[in-house]
Amino acid sequence: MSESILSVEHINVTHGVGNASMRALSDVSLSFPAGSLSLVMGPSGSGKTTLLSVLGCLLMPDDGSVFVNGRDVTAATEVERTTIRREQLGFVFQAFRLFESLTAFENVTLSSDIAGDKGEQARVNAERCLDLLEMTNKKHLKPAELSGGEKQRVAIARALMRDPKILLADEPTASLDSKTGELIAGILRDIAQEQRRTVVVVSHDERLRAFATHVVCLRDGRVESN
Amino acid sequence: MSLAFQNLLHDRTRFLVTALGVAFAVFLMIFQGSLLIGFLRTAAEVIDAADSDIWITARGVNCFDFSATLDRRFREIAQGVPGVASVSRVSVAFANYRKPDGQHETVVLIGADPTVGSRFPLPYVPGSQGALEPEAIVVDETNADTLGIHTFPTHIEVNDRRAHVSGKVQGFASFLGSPYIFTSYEDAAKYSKLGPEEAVYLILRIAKYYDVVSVKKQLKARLPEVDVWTQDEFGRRSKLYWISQTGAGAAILTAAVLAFLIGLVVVSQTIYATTMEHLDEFATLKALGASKRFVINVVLNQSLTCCVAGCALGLSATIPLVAFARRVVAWIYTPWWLVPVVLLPSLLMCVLASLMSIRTALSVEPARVFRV
Repeated sequence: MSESILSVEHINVTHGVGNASMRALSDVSLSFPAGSLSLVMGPSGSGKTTLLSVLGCLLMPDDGSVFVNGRDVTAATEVERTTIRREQLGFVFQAFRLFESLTAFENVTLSSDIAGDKGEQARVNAERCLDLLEMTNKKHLKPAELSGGEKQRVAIARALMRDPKILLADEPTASLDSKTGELIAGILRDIAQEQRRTVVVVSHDERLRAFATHVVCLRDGRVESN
Repeated sequence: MSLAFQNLLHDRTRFLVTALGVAFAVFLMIFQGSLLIGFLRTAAEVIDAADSDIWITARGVNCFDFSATLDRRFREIAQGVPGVASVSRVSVAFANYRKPDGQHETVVLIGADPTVGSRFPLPYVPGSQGALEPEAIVVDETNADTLGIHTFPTHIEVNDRRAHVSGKVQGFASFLGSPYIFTSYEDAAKYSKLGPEEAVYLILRIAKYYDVVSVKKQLKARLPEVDVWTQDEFGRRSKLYWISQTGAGAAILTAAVLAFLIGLVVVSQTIYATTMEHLDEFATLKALGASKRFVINVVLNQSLTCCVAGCALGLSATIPLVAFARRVVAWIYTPWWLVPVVLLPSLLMCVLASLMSIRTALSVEPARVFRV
């Protein structure tokens, strides 16, 4: 297996406190190599979304380590983790999370705006990402004018805008019909294989197994199979 | 165009509602402020119109409108104090005014010597350099209808004595409910049966190179039975009396303070609500790696844009509405400085409301982006 770009080692995550506390992840260790599309599956409450939050530096584990591009982010400050999210990670959400007030093009360039990069290169990158996702002809439309599949393609373009090595997708096909879902899954696979990015997809969708290079199953916060 | 501005333009209804909330608050604050300032200004209007340095009043007189008489000897003693250049007499009394159609109206009759100063409303003979027309009265233009004045001269009666209204003046409306009418001191004394040995107020002008405070001190020493005030002191005393000792003043003051507080709360509330509606977007921004500064900029820009639009809307509505209200409440007054005094706290409140919003936006859990 090639080098690991993203990994977790013996992480535990607990939600809530006192009697209301619940162990979401228990002693989970996983690694995700470059150029792979890893599918994380499991029933509701198995800890998939918690794992994705930890991988995305959005949630810190109670203990254990999280490595992003070789750096243990559990030792990083909040500001450093924000920078890691901005520069090294791309996110794709089930609910797309596009800004309704912005056009497709503006939604994509928002990633650069956030990084303080408003130059011509950002515009060129946005055009390139939209072209890659075959959305150039709809770049001036707002999310309300796009179909679910188109919205997800814009969201993927936004995620790729800063050229991250890691792409994290939460149920990217759940809001889409089966045909569009397969199209999006194919795009994610191509991103992993052709662009040598690490793509981690959390999903219930069994059809995605066909696109994955490796599948992780979680149950009750533990790795059931890997 | 910035994300903040795009968000506002996208949800125009919400933007309009927020701006209207701010506009309403601005209108409320300026209108009530204008009532309060107009009230205070009117309370000392006649005092301020006199060209004087010192006012001598009977003991315990709190305001211009409710007075007591002074003995003639006080005038003579005052004239003998070094530094006193001139002493003028002013009288004030409630009187019965009979309109041309025979109806009666209670008025406040004010009489003064022509030496009180040219800003003091008196029936001057045109081109006479200070001579007063006998048995003539001037009224404030806003009271002309109430007093049955449609042409000049109009013959009327004051306390059953013949007089005529020779002209009108501006800016001397009264909030008492009884209009002011102005005449010469001699005629006023005659109408109100003031004795030749009496005056109501003595107003003094101090000679050049004399210090008002030291002359006042000497007057107090020489006239221990009366009160001696500088013009500013008597004006302030009059304002304080009306605002603190009367129900009307207290009501206007309370309304103005409440309007100010309500206005500020409305501004804060609307700005905060706008931010709360975009909470998911702030979570997305944070998840995508937006810095605190970026999030703060978005919230602050949204708030300030709403505030500026609301203030502009509020001001454009307030100016004609205050002008309209002046037809009913003649003494309402909006000084130029009231606008910045209202707008600056409004902007400040927007920023403070933004701080609450910023706190909420910054504390939003970015991991909520995974929830549907």
